[in-house]
Amino acid sequence: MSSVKTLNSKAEVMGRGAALFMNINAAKGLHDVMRSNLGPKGTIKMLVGGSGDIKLTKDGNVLLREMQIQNPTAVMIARTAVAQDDITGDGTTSTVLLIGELMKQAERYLNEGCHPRVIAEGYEYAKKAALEFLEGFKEKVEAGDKEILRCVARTSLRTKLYEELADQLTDIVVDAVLTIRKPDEPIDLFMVELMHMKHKLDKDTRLVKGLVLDHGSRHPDMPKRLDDAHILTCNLSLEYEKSEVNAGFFYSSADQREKLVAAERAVVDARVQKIIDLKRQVCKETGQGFVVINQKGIDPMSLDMLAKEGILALRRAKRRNMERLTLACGGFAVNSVEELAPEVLGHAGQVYEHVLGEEKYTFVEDVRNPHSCTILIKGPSDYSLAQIKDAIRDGLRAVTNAIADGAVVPGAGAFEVAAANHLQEVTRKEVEGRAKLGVAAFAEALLGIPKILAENSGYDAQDTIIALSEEAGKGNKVGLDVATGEPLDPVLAGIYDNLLVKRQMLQSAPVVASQLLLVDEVIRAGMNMRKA
Amino acid sequence: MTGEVITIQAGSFANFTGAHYWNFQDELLGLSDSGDSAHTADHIDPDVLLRLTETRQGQPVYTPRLVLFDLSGSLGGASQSSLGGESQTTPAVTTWTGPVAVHRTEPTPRSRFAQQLELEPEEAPPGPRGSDNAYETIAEAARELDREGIVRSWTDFLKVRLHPRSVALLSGRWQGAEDFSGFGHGRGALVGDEAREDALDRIRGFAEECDSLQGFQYFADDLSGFGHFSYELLQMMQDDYSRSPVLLFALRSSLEETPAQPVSALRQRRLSEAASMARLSEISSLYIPVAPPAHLPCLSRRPGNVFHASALCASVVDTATLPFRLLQNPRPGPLGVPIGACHLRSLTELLGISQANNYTAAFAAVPCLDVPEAHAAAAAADARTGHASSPPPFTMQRTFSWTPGIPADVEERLAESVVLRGANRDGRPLRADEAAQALDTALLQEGVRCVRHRCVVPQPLPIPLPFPHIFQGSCIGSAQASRQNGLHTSGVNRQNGSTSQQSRQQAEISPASISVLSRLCASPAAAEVAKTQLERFRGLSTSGGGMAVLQGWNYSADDVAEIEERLQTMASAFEHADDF
Repeated sequence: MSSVKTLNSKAEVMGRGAALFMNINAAKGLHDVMRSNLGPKGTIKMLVGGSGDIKLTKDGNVLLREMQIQNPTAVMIARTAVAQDDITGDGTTSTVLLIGELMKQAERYLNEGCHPRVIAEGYEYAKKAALEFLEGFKEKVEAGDKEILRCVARTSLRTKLYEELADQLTDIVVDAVLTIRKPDEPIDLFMVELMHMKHKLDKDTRLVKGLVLDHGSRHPDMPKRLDDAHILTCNLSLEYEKSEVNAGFFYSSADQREKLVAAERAVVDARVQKIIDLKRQVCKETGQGFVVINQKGIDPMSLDMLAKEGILALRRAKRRNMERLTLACGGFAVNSVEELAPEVLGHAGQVYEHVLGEEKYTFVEDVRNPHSCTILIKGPSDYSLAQIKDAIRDGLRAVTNAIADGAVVPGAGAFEVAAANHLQEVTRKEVEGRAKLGVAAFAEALLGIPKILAENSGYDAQDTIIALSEEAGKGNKVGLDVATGEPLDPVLAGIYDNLLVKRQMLQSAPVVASQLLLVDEVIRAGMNMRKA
Repeated sequence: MTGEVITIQAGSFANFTGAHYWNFQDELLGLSDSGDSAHTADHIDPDVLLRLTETRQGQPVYTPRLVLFDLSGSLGGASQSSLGGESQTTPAVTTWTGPVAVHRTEPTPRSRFAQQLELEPEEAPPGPRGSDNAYETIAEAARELDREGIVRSWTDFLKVRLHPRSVALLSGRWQGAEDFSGFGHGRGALVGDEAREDALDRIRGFAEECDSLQGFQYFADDLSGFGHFSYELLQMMQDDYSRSPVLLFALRSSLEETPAQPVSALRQRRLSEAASMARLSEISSLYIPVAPPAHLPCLSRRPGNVFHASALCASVVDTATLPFRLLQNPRPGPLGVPIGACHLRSLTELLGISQANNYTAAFAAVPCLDVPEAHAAAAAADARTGHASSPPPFTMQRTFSWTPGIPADVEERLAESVVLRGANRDGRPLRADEAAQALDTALLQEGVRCVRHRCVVPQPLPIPLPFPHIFQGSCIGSAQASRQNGLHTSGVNRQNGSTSQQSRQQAEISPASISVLSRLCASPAAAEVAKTQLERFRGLSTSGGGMAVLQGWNYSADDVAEIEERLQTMASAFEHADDF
């Protein structure tokens, strides 16, 4: 009987055995749900909600979000995995699987009477050794090596989308990242806009070097297409706000009111006129266009004035697009009419409108020095669009990570096999005492990942692991060929994973597993006691 | 052109209220389309709240200019696409050639009403016989909604189609799966650029369509996690819409704390009330808490029933928001034209006298009494000088306060906006000018002087079929037009506009429309409310239990200090009011 009971008779207490049992089961449960996801031959999951809403995913992160997890242990594991995604953009499934494997292996030793502390010590030791090993295992990437970046992107995309589409998106993703990359600056992925159109086939997805805005002009007489266009990016109020006048406190006669209205209107008109003056100043040759993209509203009268000058005006642009526009077209975003000058203008070779059902899109293409671009995703249904978008986002992260790390790790399970081998052959011999058990368990757990990879591809897990371990024992870098079930050289096949992803996984999984193993008692009591 | 208003709803109770609110709008549309060329519903401009588009067949369709936020899984049996009126396609996996595992949740049951609406053919023939049966079934299904447990979600009684961009569910936050019951639980719901951008983009999409945006009306379920969520959202919106007023209704299902609640829930409610008052008033033009009082005459409602409570809130909100939804140049009908149309900004400027404290009270009479003759009232007023016991003017008799802390007969008032719709006298609808006269007399009789905006609209509040049947016959029977006499007809068709003409006898009292009086009032008593909240908040935030709640919200000492500071400002807002 726990002493908490004497203090609070309502407290619920779970002893060590029960707590361990609960933790291991929760980890195993998550492991079971996620295992079929892993790898390029994994299972895609279609989640049909109570109302018939569909979600399609192969991404562990999305799956975790949709599962409505309530078990506290599972919540803890899921949080770790989600943190993994936040930091690295990938590896959620692997992290959950590794935690599950670590718990399963620990269970074996615990059943033989081993104390959890011993296992945790071994895990800690093995973790350090594996991280060290990872540093030796990685392969350096030269900043300009586009081929290796494509390999990284392809590896990531192929686990989420069918091969043909993945291969097509590979180039798009790599080009997008290289477009926005500026020397000596961290890459800001928000400069890649992801725009989706429910239209045609997923293979029509393309990279637009420039921007696609999800709105068009609001005046019938404005040009639908402009070539050689000056782009004015601004945040100006081009709306007449009758507000103060209408409030009725500021005038005493109808006549006075009219005058106030006229005066208010004149202020807005003057602003519009300044823009028109600038247009006349810069568009001397015929054939030059002028586009105004405003973050605030533009009222119909202002639109009318602009339309008469042949100016294409867009209102209520996204805030982030103001930044993207200046990066793509050059120029500066203007916040007051005083700043208007030819220098603030950007330039685009083509600006045109595209209408799709009720939606209008404006393409700003053929820009001078694109440091921002748009991936235009097309697909036949909302859920497939969403899934492609998730996959592209992961691909972008993978390429960015590879550039930031300056290194990649041979994939297809090669690292896990080699690290397990290293732990068994080298590390286990260095460790003294009972911690050996923990190291061995860790090595077994690592092998769990290629095992699942083999199972998902339809091969016998044991045979595959033996074949792979033998090769690894000879000092080769070998991974699993999901097409044949035979060992393959991931470097030759061009299968690479992110260093960051592996490192993060190795760091967080054993920590969570050890914490869960070391739980002594679960107490549910106190002020903030949640209702069951 | 009156100017568009964008509606934002956040949280379960706000969406319940919103669903009733949109049903009213749909009903008004149906009425103005009913063929009667000078119908009073024509005075209300549908373009303020709704956007008009055409279907592929060229039919006009109105959809609300609305963005609503709720937890995942809160749509009940309705899927996002079905709310937009799309039929569901058979799912096909086109992005993966490997194995597919389908995980299917048990289908969530939907109300029969919602099912019937969906069944209804796109273009119901308006023939008198053909639609008779369909009407009967749907009316039957609507009556069923009153039974306990039938309405699980606001989608069960919403009869309006929504734009696909309107419905925003917080991803990864599931209804029932985690605690979202306190103001601060919403912290973090808008974390991450993506969530933020998605929310703003939805609003921006509607704003981009507007030629002259009046502003926003915001329905918040403020005592839940959507309180803090709204705080963050409105803060983000300030950059882009700095000059647009925000009319914020803080909607709650009950005015008073229910004593049956466990202490911990009560504690959280009190902290939430204080936090909401401090935080949400700061970033809105007017902060108006609205909750139905426990006892209302003429109404029999089940306490604790959200379906009923939200319907009542919606009728007050709909009436109070009428002034800025009226046509600028309406065609005069037999009942005259509405008096007192104004811009949303005018309304917020009138009532938002104090920047420091914009806590605004809502008083309302649902349904409103018969309006007495002006001279009779005047006579009563005369008599009052002699006999103190004569009845108060009709504007006071059945008017209750729907806002905590400020009683309906508060003496001190700074400004007021009074709306009277569908006034009746002896069972006969009143002309707008007659009603205005009676209203003026009554207000004069009250003897409270303040800046006043009054608005008189001949169109009563139409009662749609899925409105709960809570009216008691004795109060309404004589005064109100019931469906029986066929004065008003109601549209139940989901396809806005096409009305199935109906007027048939019904067993229970279900009036086709009711008269409503609403008053929004800025009073210095708001300072007292702030003072009380501040004391409570201070007391709770230093107690162990209160601290645990705040910790559960992830509130730091800084947050607590900020809330206290704001409440302090609000409490001292009117100290110099005498200087006026």
